[in-house]
Amino acid sequence: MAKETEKDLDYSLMQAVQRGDMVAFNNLVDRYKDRLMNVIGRMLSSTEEAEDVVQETFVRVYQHRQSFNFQHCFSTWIYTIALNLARNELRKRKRFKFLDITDMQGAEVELAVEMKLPSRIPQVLEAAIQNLPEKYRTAFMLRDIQEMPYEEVAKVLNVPLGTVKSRVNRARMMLKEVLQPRMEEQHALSKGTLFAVSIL
Amino acid sequence: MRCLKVRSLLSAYSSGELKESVQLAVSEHLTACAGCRQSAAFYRTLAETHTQLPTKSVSTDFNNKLLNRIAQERFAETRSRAWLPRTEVPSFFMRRVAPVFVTASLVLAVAITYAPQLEDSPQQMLASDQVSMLDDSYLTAQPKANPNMLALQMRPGRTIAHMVASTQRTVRITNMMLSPESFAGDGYTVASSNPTPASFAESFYRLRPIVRMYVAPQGASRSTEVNATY
Repeated sequence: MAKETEKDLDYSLMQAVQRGDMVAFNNLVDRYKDRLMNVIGRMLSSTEEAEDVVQETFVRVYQHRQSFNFQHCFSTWIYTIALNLARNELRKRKRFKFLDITDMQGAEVELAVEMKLPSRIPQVLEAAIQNLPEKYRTAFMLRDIQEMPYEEVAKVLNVPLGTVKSRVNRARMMLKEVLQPRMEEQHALSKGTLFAVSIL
Repeated sequence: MRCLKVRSLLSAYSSGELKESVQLAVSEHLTACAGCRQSAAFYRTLAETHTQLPTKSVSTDFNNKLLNRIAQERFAETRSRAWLPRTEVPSFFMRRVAPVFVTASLVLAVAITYAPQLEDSPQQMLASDQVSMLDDSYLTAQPKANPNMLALQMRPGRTIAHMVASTQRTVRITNMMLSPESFAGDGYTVASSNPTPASFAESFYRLRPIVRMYVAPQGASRSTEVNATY
């Protein structure tokens, strides 16, 4: 029921936007900007680039507002635009590798910290998600982080339902392989056994 | 259920995505298998850790920057419309019918210009040697009394202009072919190897009659027979 209400709200806002109502457009932006940033921000490591992509997504929504088909789900539409723009950005990066010295310095510091102390699990999970292959990462983020239904994820990614389930499952297995040693380490640390080993 | 199968289902089991019967089977296995139980625990922890992930959000001035950009887009749109001439969407006729009409006209013009010409001068043909030969492309009607043959050449690919001009001639010849008896009564002998004369309509509308019909003069020792084909 709540899902239907959200969908109806999207539709009514979109209808108002088509009539030229900028307040309605602003409301749509408020509804989706953080959700999109949550996904795109994890696809692209740079916050500035992710914000540019999210902004470009809303510009495209505005430019093509008259061609929006109300038989389709608005959230599927906007996520599809955002993911396509993010993929284009990733493709551009593969062709031109930009090295930023400040980024390199920051990475060195973080690495040192990680090696010395067991990191918190959420931080490890965040890094592990970034290292997932793109197709598994996208499916995982939409399903597990955005809590989108499998059917909607399939529409956004334009793949069969079975493929989505397979990719999400694969992503979870990969993350488990990364997290499992960390969890065991943290468990041992909390019990004091690791400390005893270090003293010796 | 074996461990290998159960471990492939554990991530879906931890998220409650399995069918009831399968969920039950996995639960039963977990009560007996410590290894799979440990794996299931990791998946549960993974699912719980999602909620601890920091939510990424946009900057505080995101909306302002976006609306400024939209305003620039709108300004660019109105400015370009002001300077460029109005372009009306072409009507259905101009979009669909006109191109077809133009193409058909061009094809017709080429056909009329380059199609073989019809020589419709019997006098010229009488003078040529071809008339005396039993040429497949000729329909000849030779009066009994007059050895001169009135030859009509009907070659393939007659032009439309010639077809229109020779309509009366075609009708006359067709009548001759349809009723050789009456034709014979007019002083002509019609010989054809084709026992079934073509219908009026068939002969009239065919533009490529390779008529091989030789009308022998009365009293000839034999009439040369050729196949009448259309």
